[in-house]
Amino acid sequence: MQFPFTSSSLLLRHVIQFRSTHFITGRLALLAALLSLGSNPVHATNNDKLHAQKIARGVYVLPGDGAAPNANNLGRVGNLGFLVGKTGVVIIDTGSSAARAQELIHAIKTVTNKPLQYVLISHPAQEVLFGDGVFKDLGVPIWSQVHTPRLMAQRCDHCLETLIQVLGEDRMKGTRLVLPTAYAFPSGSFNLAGRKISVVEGPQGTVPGNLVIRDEATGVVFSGALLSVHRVPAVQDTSPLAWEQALTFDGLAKAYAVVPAYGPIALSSRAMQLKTPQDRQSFISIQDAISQLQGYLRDLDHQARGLYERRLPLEEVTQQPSVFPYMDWDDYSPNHGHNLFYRYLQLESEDLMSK
Amino acid sequence: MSQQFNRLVVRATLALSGLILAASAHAGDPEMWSRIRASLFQDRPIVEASGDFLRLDAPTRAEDAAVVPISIHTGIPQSAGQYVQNTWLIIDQNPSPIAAKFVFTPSSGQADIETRVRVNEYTLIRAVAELNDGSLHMVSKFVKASGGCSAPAGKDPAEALASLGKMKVRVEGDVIPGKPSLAQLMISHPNDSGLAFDQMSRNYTPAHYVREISVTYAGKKVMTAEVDISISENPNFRFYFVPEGAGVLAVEAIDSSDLKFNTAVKLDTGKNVAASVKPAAGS
Repeated sequence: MQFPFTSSSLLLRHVIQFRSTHFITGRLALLAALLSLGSNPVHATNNDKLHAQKIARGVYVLPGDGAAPNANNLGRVGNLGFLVGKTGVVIIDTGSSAARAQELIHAIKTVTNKPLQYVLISHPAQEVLFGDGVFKDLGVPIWSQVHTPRLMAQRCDHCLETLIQVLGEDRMKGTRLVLPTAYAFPSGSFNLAGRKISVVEGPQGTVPGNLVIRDEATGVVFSGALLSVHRVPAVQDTSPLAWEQALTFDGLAKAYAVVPAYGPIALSSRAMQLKTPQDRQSFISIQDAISQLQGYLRDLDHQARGLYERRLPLEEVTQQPSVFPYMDWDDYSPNHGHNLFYRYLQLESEDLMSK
Repeated sequence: MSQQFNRLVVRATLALSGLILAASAHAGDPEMWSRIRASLFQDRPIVEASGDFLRLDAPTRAEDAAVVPISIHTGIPQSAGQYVQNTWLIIDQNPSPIAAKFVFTPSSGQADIETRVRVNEYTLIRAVAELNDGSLHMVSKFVKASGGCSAPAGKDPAEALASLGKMKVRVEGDVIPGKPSLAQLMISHPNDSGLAFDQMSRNYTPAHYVREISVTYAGKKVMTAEVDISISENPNFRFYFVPEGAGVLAVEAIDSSDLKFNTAVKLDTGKNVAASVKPAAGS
């Protein structure tokens, strides 16, 4: 995992390149977002991905890296979480394989002997739910928002094949697709395993099926796909501008800490102050994390609009030279190309519907 | 130096053998093609086209198997003496392999077509052009994509129904008499293939697709297309026509439920001041 603009000259070069090929509108926001990077958080090493990291009392994360599953990271991508309640453990996301789910269970067992009581799936993605089978076999209920099982059933015919191809049969041994149960979460806070949590579906504008899960005692928020840090998200099912708006959801800004689906953990200034200067390098401020992703979404929209207005044929949309200032983010390739492709189709559809 | 040269030769040989292997791996399913060929062209000779004479552009690996952009380019200007009369777009491994048959006239100017298709599994995609002298010419490309025909519609069904048949035709650039002008046709239509399983209703969404498109300019036929379930949701076409002067570019589309949709733009020569003369209408 690399973070963008490790030197100011590189930052400047990207900004100059970007300005030379794009309109100035909105650039100031981008510049502000880039300059706000401050210290670049350091990603989990392979070893860290096996040990639970304590975020607050009773709230833990088994970190992954933000890259797509590959032979090096063994599919330890995405941040998996767990909350230790009075009566048991609530797990948030199960990982990309049965093996990853076993690593998660091992990490939980090093923290508590309480029973595994509930699994919540934060969003429909292969990286977070292929460990479901392990928990189902243990009799743990697995819940998600209503769109998640539908989208996974529609799209994931080939996910398992692809993961086996990428990660190998050994790593994927015993892995199967188990769809979570669509659950009607109550509004407001409720008790789960003796832990008071609240679950917000969406918010509208982000990935369908997303859940934002807040632990009320500590103010730690698991954002699902709504927030990812230094990683280009897949913007296929929504418009980038709707997602940018969804990021204004105050549940993020008011959190003590935000565990994004992918990438380093974001902290409030209060939480950051409790860290040593050295430890702070592993984190990012919540506001910076939000504004960087908003910057990406705005610039994605802007670039796609430019291509659409030039009436570029669709097949050429993904072949644009990489001068985009987010090219050092995880999954820039292929996600940014995909995102341009889908945004172009959205703009075409909007154009057709307009008078 | 000689070592470097040897290394270069080895690399070139490896690269070449890789290319040969890749080419043989992309031979597709000859049995499938022989069946399609027999049904469409019987035992008529088909020339493998090369260079600019006929070109098919498609991504080697598709972004989305339900929306695979395809371009067919011809190097022959359409004239009364020689022109491409018919072009078939064939996707060997699709459940319904003949995706489209485009019929051109000398008024087409240039028998080029761009559209988007669904691809069900790794397949050879072919364009076969028939000239007015009856000769057949073919190009093909292997495309890696799968699941496109059974992919669910991107748009909410109620929303898709509300905008069913809305069309827009747009002409790019200035309209110059006698010169081919590029037009783009967009149709709001789910183009349901009948192969997509609806997880909510636990049923297959019935097939409902655009089956015929005809385009005229100033009353003269420019292009017609018989199209099929392989064409993506919200069918989209780019094609050429030759304006001889001011006129109306009119499009009619008919779907598999025999619903008819129309749109048209009035064009003046010189600066493109295209204006819609008739809103899209379903009947």
